[in-house]
Amino acid sequence: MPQLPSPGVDLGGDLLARIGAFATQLAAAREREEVGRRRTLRGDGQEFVGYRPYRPGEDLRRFDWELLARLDRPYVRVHRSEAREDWWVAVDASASMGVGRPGKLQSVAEAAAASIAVGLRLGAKITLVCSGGESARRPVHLTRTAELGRGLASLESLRATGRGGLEDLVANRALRAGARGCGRLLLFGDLLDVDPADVLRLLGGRRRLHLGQVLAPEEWDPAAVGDGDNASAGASAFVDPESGLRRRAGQDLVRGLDGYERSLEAFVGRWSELAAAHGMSHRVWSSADAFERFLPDLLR
Amino acid sequence: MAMGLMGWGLLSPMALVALGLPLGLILLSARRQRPQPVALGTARFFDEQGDAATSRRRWRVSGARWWAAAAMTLGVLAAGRPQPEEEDGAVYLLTAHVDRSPSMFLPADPTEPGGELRIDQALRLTSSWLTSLDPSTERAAVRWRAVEPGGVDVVLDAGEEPPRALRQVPRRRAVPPRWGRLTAPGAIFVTDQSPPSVSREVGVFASGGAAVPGPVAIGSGGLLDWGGRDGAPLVERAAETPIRVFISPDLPAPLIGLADLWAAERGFPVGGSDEGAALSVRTADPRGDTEAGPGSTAGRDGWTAAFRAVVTRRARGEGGWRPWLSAPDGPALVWARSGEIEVAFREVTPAASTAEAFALSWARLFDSHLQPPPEVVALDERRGAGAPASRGPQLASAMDPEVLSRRAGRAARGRRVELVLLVGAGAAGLLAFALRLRGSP
Repeated sequence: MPQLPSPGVDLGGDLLARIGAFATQLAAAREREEVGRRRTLRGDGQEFVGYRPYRPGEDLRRFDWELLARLDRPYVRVHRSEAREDWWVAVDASASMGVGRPGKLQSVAEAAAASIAVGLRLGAKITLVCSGGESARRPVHLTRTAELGRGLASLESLRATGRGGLEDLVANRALRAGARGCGRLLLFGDLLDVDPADVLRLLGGRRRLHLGQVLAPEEWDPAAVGDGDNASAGASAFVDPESGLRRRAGQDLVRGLDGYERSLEAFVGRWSELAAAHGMSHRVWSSADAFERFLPDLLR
Repeated sequence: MAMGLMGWGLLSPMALVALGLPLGLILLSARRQRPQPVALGTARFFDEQGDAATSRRRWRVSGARWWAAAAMTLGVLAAGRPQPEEEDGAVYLLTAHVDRSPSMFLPADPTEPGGELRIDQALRLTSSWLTSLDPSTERAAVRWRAVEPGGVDVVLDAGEEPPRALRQVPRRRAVPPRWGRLTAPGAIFVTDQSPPSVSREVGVFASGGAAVPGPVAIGSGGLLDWGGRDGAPLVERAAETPIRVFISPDLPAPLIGLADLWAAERGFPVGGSDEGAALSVRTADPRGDTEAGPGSTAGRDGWTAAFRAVVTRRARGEGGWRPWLSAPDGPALVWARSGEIEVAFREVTPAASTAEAFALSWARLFDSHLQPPPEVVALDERRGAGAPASRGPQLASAMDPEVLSRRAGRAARGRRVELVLLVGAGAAGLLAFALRLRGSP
């Protein structure tokens, strides 16, 4: 079995700053979008958040007359909703997530961390579950922004190993029961081992399902493995790190690539169609992509 | 040039050691290209094409590395300085000037009169040095040249023996060479006494030798013997063979009378044949079958005379002949060399006022051209010749110009090839660099 190139997670460097900026930006945009809607995360709750310009047609009870007198401009008061939403964030940490440079596990850990930060910023209660090892049996619950570090530590302790991926999570009855009451369910992984039927069972009520699917650069283009103009010269075979399945490369690679690309396209397309058909949010990206690029669409 | 291929060799074959660099690069690349299985979560999307275990190790090297190796190889070959390999003929041209003056034929050891002569010893020293040259690196051709006019002049390989003719006593006495005029690159002086100042590029092989006592001149009563030490009086003794003078009867009457008087004064008998005479005075046209030209008036040493029936004498500059008297309009009237005097006129009338100078002048001519017997050797020549000397010429300056020219041509061809190799190496290097920039490892 070949060694996995990126089995671990490193959330150091400027990632925390990026996550903070991203969460602030996305939460502000989300608040702007939803403040006028009746069914929002934010409503007429008790916790005062701030002011925003008055829009014609709004409830005059939220109008701030004092500010109008002082500034000669109409503003309304904004309060955080008392009914907090539950978010479940599930991360695939199976062996196949250790593929790629940067690895897929690193990519979904960053995306999950940023999502958690956004959720906490929006007042959601977060439950983080990860496949594989101890993490699967010990969900991490986060309720305040100050607890973000605990979530990051949990993500950073992940290692891509074993065969148990998202399928283990979505097929687990106990976990399914726990996630039943949540408003949003975010699944991060390569979705290679997940049965779509098990995912559909997670739908129900007003729950929104977000499918974040990551693939490594070499999974997008296996010919890129190797030496520049002599691409794939360095690979004699491709091995599935979970099942041990081997496929010969070498001189047959070019011929085999056509079939591979067709199969991969069909696989990704099936998830997109499934998501569209059942009102799920689905985004697929390369592990080399920054989370700022795809996460806003995924969380929409 | 230790290594050669297809007529080409390398001046610096050690540069080939650097071929290990491109070879190492190729081997290293091949080693690095050893294929490795790659983890791919989507491996299942490849169609089944057989067991990967059958994959073979591939010895593929990227284009950039091939070109880099080619650049290095070309560079190394250029550093080896290629040149065409061709056989040169004689590489050095040497000229051995052999002194054949009478002293060279004196015995090397005066106590052994029948032993080795000075010329034998000098030639032996010369041959010894020539045969010591390594034919593979110092191949030389030697022009053996006797210094007397009309003497031996042959070119032989350095390994060959000098011509035997050089050891034979010349028919006419040779004068000691003027070495300064013979100094040239590749010159070798073969003599008995090393010249006092000789250029370092010239080789000198001198036999040396002690003083050799013996007759040094002809006296009125015979030969004058030198005892071997300067300052001691010369002893007169009778010559073993009489000193005879031949005066041709067809000479103009004034000359016959003058020559007879001179011979009588010196005590030399007159008569016999031309052969073996110590001095032969004759006409240039003894049979008188040459048509005589117009007369002429000429003179020297303060006398003048009218010459009639002047005949045209063949110009014989070679063989030691020198004109002694010439007419104002050109033709020589009297030719002389050691032991021989030839006149080119049939009648002569000395001016009465200069008759005394006429007689004195001719007597000096006879004296100076009297050839003594072979055993008479000048005192200067009988003196000791010092120690033997043996010094080869500077070979570098004696290179055969043709060989130099051929070598220059080969060097130029080599430089052109070197340039082509360097340009090729540069182009291959640039190509390798460009491929590297494009992503080839």
